[in-house]
Amino acid sequence: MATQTAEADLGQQPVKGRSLWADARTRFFRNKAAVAGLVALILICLFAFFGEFLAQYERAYVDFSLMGRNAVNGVPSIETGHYFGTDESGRDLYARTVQGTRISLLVGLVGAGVAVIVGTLYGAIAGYMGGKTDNIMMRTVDILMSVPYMFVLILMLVIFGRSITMLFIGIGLISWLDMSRIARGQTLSIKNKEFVEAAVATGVRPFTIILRHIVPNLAGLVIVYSTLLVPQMIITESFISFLGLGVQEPSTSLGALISAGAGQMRYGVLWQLLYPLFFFVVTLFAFFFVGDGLRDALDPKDR
Amino acid sequence: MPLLDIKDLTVTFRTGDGEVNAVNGVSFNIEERETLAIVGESGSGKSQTAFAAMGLLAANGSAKGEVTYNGQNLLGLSQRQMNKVRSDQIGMIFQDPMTSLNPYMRISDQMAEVLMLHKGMGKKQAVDEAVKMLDAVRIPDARARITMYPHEFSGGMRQRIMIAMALLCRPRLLIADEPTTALDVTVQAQIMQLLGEIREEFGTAIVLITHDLGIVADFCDRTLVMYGGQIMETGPTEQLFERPTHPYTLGLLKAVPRLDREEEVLATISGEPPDMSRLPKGCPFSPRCGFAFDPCPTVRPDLVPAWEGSPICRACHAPVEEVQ
Amino acid sequence: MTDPKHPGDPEARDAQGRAQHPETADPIPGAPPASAPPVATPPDPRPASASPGQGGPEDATAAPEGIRLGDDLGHVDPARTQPAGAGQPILRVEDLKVAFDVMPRGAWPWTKPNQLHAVGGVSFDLAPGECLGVVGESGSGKSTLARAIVGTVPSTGGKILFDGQDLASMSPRERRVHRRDVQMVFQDPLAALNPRMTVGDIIAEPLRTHRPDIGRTEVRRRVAELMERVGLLPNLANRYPHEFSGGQCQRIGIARALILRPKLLICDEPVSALDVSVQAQVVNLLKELQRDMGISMVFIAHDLSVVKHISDRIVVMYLGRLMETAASRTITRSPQHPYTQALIASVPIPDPKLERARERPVLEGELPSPLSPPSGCVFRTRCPKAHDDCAKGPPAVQDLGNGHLVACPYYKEPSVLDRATEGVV
Repeated sequence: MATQTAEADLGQQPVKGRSLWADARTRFFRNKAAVAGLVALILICLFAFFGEFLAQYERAYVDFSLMGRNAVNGVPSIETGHYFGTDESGRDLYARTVQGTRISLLVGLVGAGVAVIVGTLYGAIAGYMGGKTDNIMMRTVDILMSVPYMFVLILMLVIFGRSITMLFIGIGLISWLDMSRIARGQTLSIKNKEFVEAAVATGVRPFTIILRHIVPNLAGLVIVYSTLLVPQMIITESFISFLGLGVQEPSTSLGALISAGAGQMRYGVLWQLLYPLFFFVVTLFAFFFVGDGLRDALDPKDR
Repeated sequence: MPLLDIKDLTVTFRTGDGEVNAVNGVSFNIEERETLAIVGESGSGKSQTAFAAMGLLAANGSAKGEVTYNGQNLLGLSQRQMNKVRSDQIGMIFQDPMTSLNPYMRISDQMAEVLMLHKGMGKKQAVDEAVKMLDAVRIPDARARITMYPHEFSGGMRQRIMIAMALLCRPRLLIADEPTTALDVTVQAQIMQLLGEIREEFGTAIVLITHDLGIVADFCDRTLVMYGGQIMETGPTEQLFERPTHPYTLGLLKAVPRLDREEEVLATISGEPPDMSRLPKGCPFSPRCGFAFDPCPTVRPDLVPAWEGSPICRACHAPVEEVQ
Repeated sequence: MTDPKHPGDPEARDAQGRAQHPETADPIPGAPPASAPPVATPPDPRPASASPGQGGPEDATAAPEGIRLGDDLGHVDPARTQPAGAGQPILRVEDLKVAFDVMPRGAWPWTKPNQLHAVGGVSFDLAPGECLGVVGESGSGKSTLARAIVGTVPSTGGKILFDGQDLASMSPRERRVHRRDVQMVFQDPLAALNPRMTVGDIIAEPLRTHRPDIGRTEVRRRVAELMERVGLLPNLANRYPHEFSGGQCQRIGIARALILRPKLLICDEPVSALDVSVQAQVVNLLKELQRDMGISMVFIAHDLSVVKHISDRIVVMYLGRLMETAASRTITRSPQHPYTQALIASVPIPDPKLERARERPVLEGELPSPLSPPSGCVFRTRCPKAHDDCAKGPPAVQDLGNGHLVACPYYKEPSVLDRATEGVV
C-alpha cells in the first residue's frame, strides 16, 4: 500500500516513517462510534477531576434542614445549587457523583494499569523463556485463578478493614492474571517470528529481546484488552460497594451511590439512583466503544 | 465459439484508501480442449481475473465486463446459479488445497456430497464414482483411503484430491490457480504430469494461473502475460517464449536463472512490483521499463497483433523491432 | 555440550581418531574399488543420541555385519570435500546432527518424546570467500542445518568448527561473542523485521548489541552507508518495514546481516518469497556483496537453478542426509546421485522447445516421514537403482575426485534418470 511512497521520496531529506501506531490512529479516528466513545470518556474524566469546582456544596456537608425531607426539598434544581439533588442525609449528590465517578475511574485505571504492567511482563517472560520457567509461572497463575477471588477480596476487606487502599490491592492482585495468559499466548506466536530469531542469532540478550521485540508487538493486544478491563474493574468495585464492603464513607464510588440510590427508590427520590447510574452506564459504554475501535484499528490483519 | 470468453473485465476493490482496480479491462478467451497459461507476478491480477470470472471475489470486490461461458454470462448469475456452474461445469484447483477441503469431513463424504447434489446419485453410487476419480488421479489404495480426513494426506496427495474433486462432474474447463506453488519440485513434476494425463483423458480445457515460467513452457498451448491488472502480451507459448515482443515478458524471461545456462549476472527488471493504488494512467509497466518513452506513462497501449497476421498480441508503444 | 569424543567408548574414539587423521584410516573392507578412503560427507542414518555427549557411533544395529560400507562415514575428514588448493576452511561441519523432541499424538506429559532427526550427520567444509549452495526439498533439513550453524537451534551431535573453534560445544555466553561473525538472512522478508521498529533501528541492532562503544552519529553513518550499499535510499531510515515492498525488505535484512562485517553469511531461502523480477535483483546483490566484501556464504534454497547460479559448490540434501556434493557446474552437468538426477529432471526450464524435447523421468512417491526414515539409504524408497542391501546400512560414499562425493555405491548403474540432464547441458 505504502510501497510506492518509499520509492517516490527521492529527496535527500530524511523521510519520516509512518509507524503502525500512526496507521492505527488514522483508522481509529475513522470509526465514528469509537470517537464518540472517546469524546464521552474525555468529558467524563473532565467531570470527575474538575467537576468539583462547579459544586456549590462540600461533598461531606450535611444539610440537616433537608434530612428526611429529601423527596420534597432535595429535588435537583439549578437554583438551590443541588444540580443532582441531595441524598437521604442531605448531602449534595452532584459533589458526591463527581467523587464517585473519580474513584470508580481510578479503581478501573489502577486495576488495568497493574494488569498491563505486571501481566504483560509476566506473560511475556513466561512465554519467551518457555520450558520449565513457563510451566512454573503459568501453573502459579492457574492456582491463583482457581481461588474464588471475590470471596478472598471480601474476606480481605472484612479482616483488614474497608479502605480504598485495600480495594486497590485486592483488585490489582487479581486483575493481571487474565492479562498474563493473553500476553503469554501472543508471545508464543511472536517468539516464532523470524525477527525474533534474527535477534537471537545476532546475540541480543533475552531480556532485551523481550523488551525490544516482544512487548512492543504485544502492545496492541494489551491496549485493547485493558480498555475492556477498565469497565470490568469498575463493575467489580461497584459490586463490592453494592454489597457495602467497598469504599468507606464519607468517600464514595458509583457503585456505592447506586446502592444507596436503589435503597431510596421507594421514597420517590429516583434521581438519587438515576444520576450515578447514568454516569456508570455512560462510562462503561464509552470504554467498550473505545475498546472496540482500538481493536479494529490495531487489528494486525490490516497491516 | 470459444468455451470461455472474457470481455473487458474490470475488478475493483473498495479499500480504506479508496477504490483499487486489481484487474483493468482484460479480454481473452479459451477454446475447447485448449490449455491457457496466465502468467504474472504478485499483484498482476492473474488470480483476481479467475476469481471474478468464477464469482469468488472477496466481499469488497466487484466485477464489471462480460464473462461468457458456453453462451451464458456468468457475471449476471445469482449466487445459487453460480454455485451450480462452479461445481458442475467449471472445476477449480487452488494453491492451498486445505482452503477448499473441509477439515472436519471425510474425503468420501465431501466428494459424494457434490455428486449427490448435482448428479442426483445415491450415496453408494456417489462413493463408487469418487473412488474411480481418486484412482484417476493416481491415489494408491483409493478405496481404503477415501474414508480418511484431509489432514491425513500429504501436500501432494491433497492436491491430487483437489483435482479429483474438481473433476467429479466432468467439467469442460478446469481453472488451476498456482496448483504447484506450495509443493516441492519432484511433487510438482508429478502433479503437472497428472494434469497432462487428465487433459488427455477427459478432454478438459485448462487455465493455468502461475508465476512459474518453467511449468508454462512445457504445459500450455497459449500464454497470457499480465502485469498491473492488464494483459501485456499474449500468444502461442512457443513463439512467445522464443521471441517475446513485450519488454516485460523479455525481462521476466531473462531474470530467471536457468539450469541450462551459465550467466555471471542475471538480467534484472529494475524497480519494485506495482502499487495497485497508484498505477500510472498509461502502461502499468512504464515506470520499470527500459524502452519507455513519452506516451507510455499517460497513454494506455492497446492489445494488438505484434505485426500483420502475427499470432502474438502485445500492449506496448515501443516498436517490436526495438524490443526484440 | 556435544563432545563426540566419548572416552568410555572405543568405537567412538576410533572413529574420531580416523576423522582427525584420515591418512591412517584403513580402507573400508567391502567398499567398491572406486571409492576412496572413507572420505566424505555422507548420510548417516544412525539415530542421533538423545542425550548430549554421545555423538559417537554406538548404534551397531544400523550397520550389520557384512555391510560395513558406511559404518564410519560421517566421521571422516571433510577437508577432502573442498577443492584442492583451498586453505584452512572458515567453517567445517563434522557429522552434525540435530534432533527434535516430538510428542506423539495423545501422549501423556511424562511419555518419552519421539526423536525427529532433522539433520542426521552432515559434514562439509566451507573455504573462505566461497559460496556453498545447499539444495533440498522441504523436510530435507536444510533450514535446520542453517539454524544449527547460526545457533538458534541446538545441535545434538557433531561439531561446527568456525575458525577452528567448535561452536556447538560452547555455552550460550561464550557463543554470543562469536555470533557477530556469523549472520543470517531469512526467508520471509517482512516477518524477519520487527514491525514496530524503524528500518534504521533494525539495521543498527547488531551494531548496538556487539559494539555499544560506537556513538549514535557513527551508528547512523554506518547504517546510511550500508543502506546505500544494498540499494536503499538512506533517507528512508526512519520508515517502518510495512512501508517497503518485499524486495526492499529483503535488502534491509541483508543490510542488518552485513553491518557487523561478518565472516560468514547464512542465507536461508532468501529469494523464494520474492517475485521473479525482484528475485534476480536480490540474487545479484548477494553475489556482488559476497565477492566485494569477501564473505563466505552458505546459500540455502529449494530452487536448484538459483542455487546453481550463485554457488561455487553445491550440497544436495535429502531427509537430513547429504546425497551428493560437487562443484555447481558438475552437479548440474553430470549429476551422479539418482536423487540429484531426479531433482534436475523435475526442474522445469522456461524454454518450450527444449522442455518439450526433454525426457523428464518423474520421481515416484513422496518424502517419507522424518519421524521414521527408511533404514539404510533414506532415498531408497523412491530410488530407481535401489538394491536389497541399500536397506541394510548407510550407503558408502564415493569420491569421484575434485571434491565430488556421491553417497551411492550404485551410481554407475544405468537407470531412467540418466537421461535427466539430456538437453540441459
